[in-house]
Amino acid sequence: MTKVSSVAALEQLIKEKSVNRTADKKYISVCGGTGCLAGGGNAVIDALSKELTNQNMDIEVVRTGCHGFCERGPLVVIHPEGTFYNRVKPADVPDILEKTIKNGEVIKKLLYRDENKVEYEKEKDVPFYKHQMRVVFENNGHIDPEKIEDYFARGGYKALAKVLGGISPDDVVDLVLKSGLRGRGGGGFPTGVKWKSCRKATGGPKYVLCNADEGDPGAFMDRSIMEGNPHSVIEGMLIGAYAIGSTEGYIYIRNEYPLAVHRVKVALEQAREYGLLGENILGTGFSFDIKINRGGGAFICGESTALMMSIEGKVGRPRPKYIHTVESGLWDKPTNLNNVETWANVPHIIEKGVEWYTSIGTGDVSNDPWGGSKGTKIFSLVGKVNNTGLVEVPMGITLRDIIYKIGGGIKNAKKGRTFKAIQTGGPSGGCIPEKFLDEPVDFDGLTKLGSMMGSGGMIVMDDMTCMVEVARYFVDFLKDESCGKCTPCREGLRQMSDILNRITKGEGRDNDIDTLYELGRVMEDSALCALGQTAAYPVLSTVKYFREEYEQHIKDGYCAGKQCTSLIRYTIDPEKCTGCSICAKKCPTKAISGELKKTYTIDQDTCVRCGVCFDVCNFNAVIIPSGSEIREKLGE
Amino acid sequence: MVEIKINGKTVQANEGETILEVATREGIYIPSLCHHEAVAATGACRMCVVEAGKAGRKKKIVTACTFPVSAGVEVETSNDRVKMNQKLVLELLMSRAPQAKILDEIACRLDLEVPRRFEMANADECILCGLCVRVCDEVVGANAITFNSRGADTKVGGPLMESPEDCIGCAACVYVCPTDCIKMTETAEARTIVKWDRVLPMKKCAECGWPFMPNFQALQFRKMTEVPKEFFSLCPDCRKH
Repeated sequence: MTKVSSVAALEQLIKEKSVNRTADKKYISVCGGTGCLAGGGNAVIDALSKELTNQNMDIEVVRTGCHGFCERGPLVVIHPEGTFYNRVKPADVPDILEKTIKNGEVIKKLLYRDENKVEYEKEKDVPFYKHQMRVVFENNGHIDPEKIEDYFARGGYKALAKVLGGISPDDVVDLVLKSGLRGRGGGGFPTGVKWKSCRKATGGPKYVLCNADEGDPGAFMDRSIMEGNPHSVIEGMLIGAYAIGSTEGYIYIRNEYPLAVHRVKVALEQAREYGLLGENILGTGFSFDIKINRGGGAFICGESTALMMSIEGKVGRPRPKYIHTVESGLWDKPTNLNNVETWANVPHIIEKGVEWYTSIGTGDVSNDPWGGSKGTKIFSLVGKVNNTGLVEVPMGITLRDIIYKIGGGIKNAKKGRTFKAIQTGGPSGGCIPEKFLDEPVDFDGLTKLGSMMGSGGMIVMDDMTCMVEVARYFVDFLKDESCGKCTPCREGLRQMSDILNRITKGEGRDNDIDTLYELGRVMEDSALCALGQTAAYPVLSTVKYFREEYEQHIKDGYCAGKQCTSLIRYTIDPEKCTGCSICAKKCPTKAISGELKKTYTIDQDTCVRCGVCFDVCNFNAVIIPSGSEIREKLGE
Repeated sequence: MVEIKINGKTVQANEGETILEVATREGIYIPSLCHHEAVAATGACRMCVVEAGKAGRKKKIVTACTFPVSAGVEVETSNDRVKMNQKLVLELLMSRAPQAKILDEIACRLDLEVPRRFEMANADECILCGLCVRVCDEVVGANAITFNSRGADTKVGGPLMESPEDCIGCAACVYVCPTDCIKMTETAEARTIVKWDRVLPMKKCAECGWPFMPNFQALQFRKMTEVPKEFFSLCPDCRKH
């Protein structure tokens, strides 16, 4: 492979490679993201390749990145028709080749069926995908992330060619500024403003960093971008480096993402081989290269200054940012840090233009980069919804559309489960109740509701969720992940954790809610970094919207979500119990006894309150009294 | 020089100076614990919080020890918001160091009634201000002690909480500790830094016999300063004669 020596040569190369992915080309894409691989994706890919060779069929199998619908994996899509098969096993491969590839028949049993048993043939018609707007994720289903040629074939590095072909660095900064792109890592700071300040900053060398230390529980969009389309991040960083005037970059990836580390490494090597990284790129005199820095497992290293400390080889502890990192960051040099998703947006803005980008999203950013939220955002939709996975949606979509159209509504709605709250923004985010579901999702909208965009976590909770327990879970997570440097975060979280643990055990005190509120206010004001400043949001937002649940726990020992095991009992309603014995069979501690076709009973001393009996009972006969209900029903 | 306002009073300041430096010069009291002029400011304890910002803009709570002033900055050191923050920071610190006199003194000087609602931490009076760690690194150059673990479990000590082998027993940490939680004992034979479990034999003055510094400290200082070998054979007093 030879180095590409000029912008014209790169454009020619992209054109040549594009024949590999024309709109009518037949190929089979199999998801090779971590989720689908865990579900046996590799075996499906191997079986497909083997069978195609055996049958002498000249059809390409592409091991792509994550398609987003992880719970349905392994996923197989047959192009150009877009036939979508889910939960595919190696044993299905002969059928797929025989029926679908050769005869164009659709195999019904591999199709996706929604909660109402409706079948969908094409990927684009599946509700989970239909209501999404895939820009950053668009290529994930089509390209092999370990082949740069695949990225070329989908028009990759066109934006770089465009920029190096004759847009001045100042104009690149201006384009990004006008696009209204805001930081996807959580802060929502206008990317163009950051680039402009870093470009203006004196001294050097200047550094360009990519924050890939994605640590929010349940969030994995950055991982999926790196695993599925690493060149989009590299291309974004190249454009950023050119605009800012930097020659050296780092991608800080958490070491818990081995596949992402591997694929980014391969991508960097391939980009170097083509001369897209290194000295004198495309003969333009612009030089830039990227190193990978692997994180050691501390959540706090996703904070910008802690991340820089970590790259410097020091303990990852944040420092005050009164002097911005764009002026004095890594090794006290001007440093521009953006998140993976932010970088991956940049080539699209350059390629498709500011007008196209600003047509997506909310507000008006033509005069004020803070005036709205533009483009798309990827969320990881998890929790009590029917469809979980990664969803890319335009800014401004309502929470209701995400939960009900894409997510397919609340899981087990037929069993009576209803929506209670949605937690957005990761562990520091807030819980939003039903009455705000029609509010638009964008940076400012979510902040107004006492939550935040964060890096894009979305956890849907149903009526069987205890909001005090939710707050306790996140506060305990943050308590463990606080670096321990500043007093409000370290000590405040410890006290919050003590109080919340007491409340969930039924040992709450009258003034606990006030104390929690006071701790939250001071942490928001006084903590050193964003982790501490936002750490109280799960508590403040649940106190704000679900105060009665706190009061019930404290005053009555009542847990409305029936999750706090110290405050609940499982018992069987004799009028509903049919004596089918399934609960007794499934009970792990043999706490349930009775005779077939007669009422079963639960021995409270042996019961560990795991909830298995409640889940398996088909007659809603297992009931969960709490607080005063226990006294009424059980006489305890 | 730039003009800034502290508590409504216009004062002159050098651009880039910290609020704490300006306030100290102007005789305005701002309490601090993790700050010491011998080491770089770190903004860890949050005791020196003040409200600051440009006129007409939303004011923020910042730490006076690290916030650099610029023209037009307005600072409030004791309004209700600042007091609420100071009071809770003090209460939180008292849950680690209930015996520390300095916390009571600050509360007294700020005229704050600090409640004691919180569960006590098993912290041996250490408030994790990190002054000992920074002095050991930045001033002494021994870099013998560090923070171990993280979050509420953070503890200061030698690496992995072993007795620090690089500790020269200079006692700079004992001197700077604001809560006085680093104790030292000394006999004619040995100096012990109790908190680090570090025992160092003493060097005796060749002339008067006074055990004036640990052997190891003399050795390290000689390496660092390149003074003649005989320099540390005498105690400071005998050296004068």
